[in-house]
Amino acid sequence: MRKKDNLKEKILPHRAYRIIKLDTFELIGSFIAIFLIFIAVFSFFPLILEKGIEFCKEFLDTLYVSAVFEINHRNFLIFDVPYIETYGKYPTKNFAILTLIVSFILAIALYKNKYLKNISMTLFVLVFINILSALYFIFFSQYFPYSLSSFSYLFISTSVINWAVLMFIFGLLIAPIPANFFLKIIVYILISLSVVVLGFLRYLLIIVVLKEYTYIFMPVLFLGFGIIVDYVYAVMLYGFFVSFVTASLLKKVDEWRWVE
Amino acid sequence: MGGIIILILKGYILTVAGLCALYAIRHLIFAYDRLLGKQRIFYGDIIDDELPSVSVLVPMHNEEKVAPNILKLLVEADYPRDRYEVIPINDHSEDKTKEIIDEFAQKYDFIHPLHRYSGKRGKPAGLNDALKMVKGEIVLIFDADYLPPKGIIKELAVNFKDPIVGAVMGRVIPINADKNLLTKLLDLERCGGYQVDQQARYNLNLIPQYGGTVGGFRKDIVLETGGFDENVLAEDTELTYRMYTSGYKVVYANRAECWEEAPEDWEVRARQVKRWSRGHNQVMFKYFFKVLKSKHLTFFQKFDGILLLMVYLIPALLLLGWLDLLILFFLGDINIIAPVFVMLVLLLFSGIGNFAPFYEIATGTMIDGLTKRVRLLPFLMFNFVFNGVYITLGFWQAFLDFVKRNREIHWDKTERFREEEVVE
Repeated sequence: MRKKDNLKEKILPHRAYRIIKLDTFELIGSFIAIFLIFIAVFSFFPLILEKGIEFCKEFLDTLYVSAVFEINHRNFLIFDVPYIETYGKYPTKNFAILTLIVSFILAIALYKNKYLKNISMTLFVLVFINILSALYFIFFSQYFPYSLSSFSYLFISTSVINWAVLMFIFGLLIAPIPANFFLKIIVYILISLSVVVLGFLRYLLIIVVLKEYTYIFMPVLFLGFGIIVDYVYAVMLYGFFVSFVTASLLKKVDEWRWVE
Repeated sequence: MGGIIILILKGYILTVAGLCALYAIRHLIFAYDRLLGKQRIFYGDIIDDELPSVSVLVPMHNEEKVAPNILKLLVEADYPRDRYEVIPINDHSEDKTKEIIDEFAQKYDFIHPLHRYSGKRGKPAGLNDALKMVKGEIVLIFDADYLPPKGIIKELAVNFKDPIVGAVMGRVIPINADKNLLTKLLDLERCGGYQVDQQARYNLNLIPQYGGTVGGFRKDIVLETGGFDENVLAEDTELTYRMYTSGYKVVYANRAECWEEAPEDWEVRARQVKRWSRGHNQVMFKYFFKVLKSKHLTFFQKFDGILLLMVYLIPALLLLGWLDLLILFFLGDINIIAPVFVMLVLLLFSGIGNFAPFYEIATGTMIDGLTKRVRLLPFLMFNFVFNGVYITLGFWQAFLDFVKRNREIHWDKTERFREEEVVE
């Protein structure tokens, strides 16, 4: 049979027999290119961190004219991590009690809720952390181990490690996807940029919230709105990318081959 | 003393994070294998005129909403009638299931009903009773809410032409995937779990799992090894490990697709997850050391077998890990743990239990051609707490079953949602 008469090359294979046609050269090229970008970003991390923190400081200086914000550095693993030093405030006993009551009511409402149980149970856990925090500040306020400065360092150092891990993982995930080489590079850079940029914005937001509404929300902000959120952006962008690639693959029969 | 407690808390986090990383790598290998590796085809393409004799068992308890659909489809199945029988197992039904089954049995002589109104309830007990009357050498099982296509009996049965094959498993696809967020997320999990996870385990000669429905086994092996253990809720997982530790293989037949009804309600899903977790963990307690000692398994099969046995233990450990983190946070001792915390987050998106991680799902949707549903991937994060809580409850029950032998086991039936006839 002549090659052009092979029907298997004209029919989109059933999903059980589908396999992506591979260009080994391009696949290896994708891995190398993404790895090089990763190394490049990693080596510029100190500069990126410095600039990001400077931006945050400038924004906070504008927002709080009378407050003092300083940039300090501490060594964390292989990084010299810059972070913002400032002061915050402890909650009053009355505010802690009010937070406890509101959180408790919210917890009951979420517990009773029967719709979108997965989301309500997740929110329940966040509210539960807030209840623990309120109780802590009512009874053991003097033992709270963080200041806004130490939390600021903790948050940034955790984020730095997270960004590095996340870029490494998403590099491994994006490289083998059967898409245009340059598109993959763009998506990889976009994901890397988004986690860093949005990470700094979240850092800023958390400092503002803690400055405005006291340390009582520190545990929930760290465990609920910390590095987990980075994964939400990254997975969302990755999902949209895969969706786009899938749609284009379905239109191109020659991108697939049959399992043999 | 305080220092030792903190050391233990940190050590625990480190251990859990290490396990999480191990699972993340395992699933990454599976995703790569399905996308880039050589695929192993099941025996579905064999054309053979001497097909084995087959008995199809359909366990039913109050299944009046779905029973007519599956019976009608099994009647229309493409399989030689002299080698084919259908045994609907009516297990203590109080609705019209009995009447529906009897009506079909009157019309078709290859339908041999089994009505059970005494003895132990539940799927394993029902299957054991049915095995006593089975005529076929191969037993295939379909849950009552499944909609088997015409050729599936042949596609599953033909695998048993190879004498080393002890069991076969087909692919499950939700028919009501578009119903709501829950069914859409379940569809994603199924897609990753079957198209990628099961297929990759089959490709790599590891442990593809027999899932208790849309699959089957050799009658003789099960009878010779004592039938189904009526105190185990996951008789499917138990059978998988029994097959492998007895020197037989499980085939994953990716092409043998069958429609199922996914739970549409979170309460129903919660009960299902809890039951699966209890059953799977019962098997873990029973087979952990048997797998390690087995002479029939290779090193990698043992390694994967142990990881598979532990999939419903990890969420319980992970949930404890988060509690541990919370304590360390309030003690002000979290700094050094921070990088490890990252690993825990990884597993958040990896899904838990035997549900597929986000990158496995993305690979599955790409191969399946699901263009829009994959955009829901970030919502998987919200399943972490839900699954974690109910899997932990199931693990706790299994632990009590293990400690207090002879505990009474109740089969918790999954509620059906079908409102209209889906078979014309």
